[in-house]
Amino acid sequence: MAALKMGFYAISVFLICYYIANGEPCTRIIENLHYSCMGRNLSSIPSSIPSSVQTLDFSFNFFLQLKKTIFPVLSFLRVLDLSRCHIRQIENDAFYNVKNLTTLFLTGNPIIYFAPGCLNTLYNLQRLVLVDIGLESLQLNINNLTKLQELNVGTNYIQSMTLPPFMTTFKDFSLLDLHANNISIIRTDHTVVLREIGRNMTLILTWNPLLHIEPGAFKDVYLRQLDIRSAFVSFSAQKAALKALHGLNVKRLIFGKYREDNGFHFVDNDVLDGLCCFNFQEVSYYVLESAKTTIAIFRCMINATRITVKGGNIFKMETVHFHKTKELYLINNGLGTLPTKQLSHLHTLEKLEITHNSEPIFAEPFTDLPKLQYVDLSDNQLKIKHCCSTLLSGTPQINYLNLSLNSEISVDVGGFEGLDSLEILDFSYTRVVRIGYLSVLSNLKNLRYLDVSYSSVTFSNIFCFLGLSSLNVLKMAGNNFQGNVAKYVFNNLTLLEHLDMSFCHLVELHTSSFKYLQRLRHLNVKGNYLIKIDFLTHPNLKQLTSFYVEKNSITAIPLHVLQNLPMNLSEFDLSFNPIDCSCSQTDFMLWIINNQRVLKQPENILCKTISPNSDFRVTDFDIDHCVYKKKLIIVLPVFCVVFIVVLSILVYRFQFYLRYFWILLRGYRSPGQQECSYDAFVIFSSYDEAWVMNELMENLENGVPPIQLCLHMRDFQAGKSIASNIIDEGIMGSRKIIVVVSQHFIDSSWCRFEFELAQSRFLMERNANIIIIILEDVAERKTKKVIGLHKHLKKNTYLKWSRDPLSNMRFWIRLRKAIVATKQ
Amino acid sequence: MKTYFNMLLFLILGLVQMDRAHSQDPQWPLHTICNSNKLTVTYRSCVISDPLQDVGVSFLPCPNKLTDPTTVRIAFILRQSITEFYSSIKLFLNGLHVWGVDEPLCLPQFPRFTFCGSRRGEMITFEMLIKSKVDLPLKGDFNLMVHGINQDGFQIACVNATLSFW
Repeated sequence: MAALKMGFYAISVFLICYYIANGEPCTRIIENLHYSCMGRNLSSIPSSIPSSVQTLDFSFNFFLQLKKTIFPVLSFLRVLDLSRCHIRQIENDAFYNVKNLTTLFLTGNPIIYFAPGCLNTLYNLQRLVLVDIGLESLQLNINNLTKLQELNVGTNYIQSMTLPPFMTTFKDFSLLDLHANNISIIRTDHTVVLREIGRNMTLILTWNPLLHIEPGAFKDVYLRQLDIRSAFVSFSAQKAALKALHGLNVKRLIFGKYREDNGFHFVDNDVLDGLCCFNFQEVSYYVLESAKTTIAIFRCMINATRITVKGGNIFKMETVHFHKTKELYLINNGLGTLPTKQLSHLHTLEKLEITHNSEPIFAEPFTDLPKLQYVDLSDNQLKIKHCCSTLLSGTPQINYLNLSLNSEISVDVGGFEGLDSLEILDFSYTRVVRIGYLSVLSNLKNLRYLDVSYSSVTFSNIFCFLGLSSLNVLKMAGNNFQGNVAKYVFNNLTLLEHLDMSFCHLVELHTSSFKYLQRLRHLNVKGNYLIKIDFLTHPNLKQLTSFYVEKNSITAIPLHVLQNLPMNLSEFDLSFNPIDCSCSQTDFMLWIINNQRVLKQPENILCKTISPNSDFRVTDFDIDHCVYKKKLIIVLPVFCVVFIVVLSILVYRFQFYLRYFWILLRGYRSPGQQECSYDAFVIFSSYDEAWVMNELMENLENGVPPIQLCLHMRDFQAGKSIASNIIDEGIMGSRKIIVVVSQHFIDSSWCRFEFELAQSRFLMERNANIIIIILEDVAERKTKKVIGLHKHLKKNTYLKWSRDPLSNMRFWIRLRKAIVATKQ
Repeated sequence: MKTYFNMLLFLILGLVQMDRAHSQDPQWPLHTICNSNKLTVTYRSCVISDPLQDVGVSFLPCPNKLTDPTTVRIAFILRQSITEFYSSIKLFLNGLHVWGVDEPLCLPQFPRFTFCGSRRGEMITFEMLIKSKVDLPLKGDFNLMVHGINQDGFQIACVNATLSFW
């Protein structure tokens, strides 16, 4: 029972700790200031939130009911996000403890009960977002919110845009967002308060089912922006509504369609005549309607200073005379002809953008536009044969010209005359003719930015950039260089800082290419076939900070290049090169591993491998393995030398035995195959020669029958080595071996050698016979010095010499018998 | 004895809590949009680590042929704002990529759709009429993957759909 009790306590403590650990669900974004408790299924403010918090994201939690006790005192809280907190009721004083809020989000809460004064404690509120909360009216009790600037009540069920009368005191009010509501009628009395509020208002009525606007409802109303995109239930409703806007003064008008609004077709060509009934300075028209015939779009826009028409199907623009237009944007309108007639001689035009026409477009010259500075004609399927005089004339102020993403442009010599102010020129992804082999850009002394990327240019003339003395950025990716033009083509670009030569099929870059580029800071040569980057050590490239050489053919960079890289280099992209990860490049790989701060994408610096499927990173290479290998390279020769020396010593030491084995291997001859030359080979010390000559030889060779002996001082062949004589004539050429053992015999190394060889033959033949004569008594311990002698004496019968006549006679009889007995 | 009961209750509640947390289904449910003898369309919202949400998709009506007009309706709740919004659509047949399109739907200067610029917490409902100009005799199982990404790189919505043509 006690153990059970203790177990329960332990588990309880664990569970308590578990819940406490779970009690810190909010993410601290800025300590003491900004916290996010988004999506934590909370129903109260955690105590871990400090009282100093200024921004609190409490979206996607559970409150159900907001009352005063929900929030602790958070005097410094400015931004509170309660989106999607399942709030149904908001009681009075619910925001009392956070009364200093400036921004409150209540998006997506199904609020069914608003207490009358629940928001009125927020005296400092500037931005109130009540999107998608089920609102049916704008009659809110917010009269104390005199500092309110923005009210967003989009996606609700509001049917009238009537504002409460007290809002006339909201002097800072500037945005009313009523998008996606149920407003179908706007009457004059609905806009009374709107007329009283200041002139800096933005009104958003997008995505409402507007049926009718009472004529004059917006008379004397001043707005900064009016957005009525997709605000009308039908085309005719829009047509009538535009006319009903007479008397309105708006700075920026936005109308037309959203993309998902299934548009209707134009039925009249005067559908936009209502635009003539009110005043606007800027207009954006998102068309999406399709027209069977030419319609009048611009007729009532000619007094606007900024005109944007997007998504129309104009093809041919009607003839109008613009008066005050400064900026004109025609985007994705299916134009078949540039509106040069309509725009030429428009002295107010400063900015022109005609882009995204998917059909081929015919170009005629724009003429007499003295204030035009910005021209963007990109993505138009343009074909221009004589650029640029046939496109722009009388336009001396142009500093931006964008002709990218077009079909083909031929640049004439002198083609940029009259465009001396040009600073930015973009031909990217447009096929350009003549730039690469003629000096067609020579008068563009102010040009700072030139982009001819992917323009099918082959640079074959070293003077093609002549005159571009101010060029700062040059992008020429995806083009070609002929011969050694790349060596000299940049010679005049002394102010160049950014050079992009990616995907230019470069195999080599010489240092002379950068001779004059002392200000170069960004160099991009990715996607080429470079093997060396030695040019990087050129002293003139000391300002270089970025170098991109990814996707080239670099296998290794020598150490002297790595040690002389530009000092300011802080971004070096070497990825996707076939790096040689072998021990011969240890310095290079160590440099890569130690300089990952500078290297971009070091994880993509891969080793060249035989298998195309395996990716092995340089950073994963084991340098220690190479160090071990180097040590091995040092140790191995030393070991070999030592081995050879030791082997030589051993060979010398055992030369006699080696020779013997060699003779045996060369061809062993059995005694039966060849008659032996001698009856016995006598092994004896030189000191015992007297006995051998006087006693042994006299008794055996002069006796009857005579016995032929082999004696080394008499029978060995001259000129033959002693070892060979011992083996060939002695041991191999004799039937018997007589060993004369004496003290001198024991001490002689030659005798020991001969005896050992004799024993070897005995082992191999088995019928060999060794006869041992003990000439004098030898201490037993000494016989052990000779390998096998002691053992032999113990196992075999031996003869002992004596001067006693009787023993002497018996000695000779036995010796002769031993030799002769096996002769047959 | 009363203390023991409280502890036991506490223990059981804790175990239930932990068990529920561990056994939570890591996948969104499989939805069926169309189920006719000509076309079957099912989809499942992708599991995104954060934020988690499901996507509602419907076809009205289910087309029998590609040339039949149908309205696609998509609905989901935003968990991040979409000042900018980019879509990626990929179509696979038997694991092979057969068609794809990446398109910016919302850009700061050109909000093409009503939902452009919407903030977190708002419900996005999107309808579009779709009709193919060419009646391709499609057979087999197609996999459709749709992603939506906002200006900060957050994955706003993600759907894996299977279209089976008979």
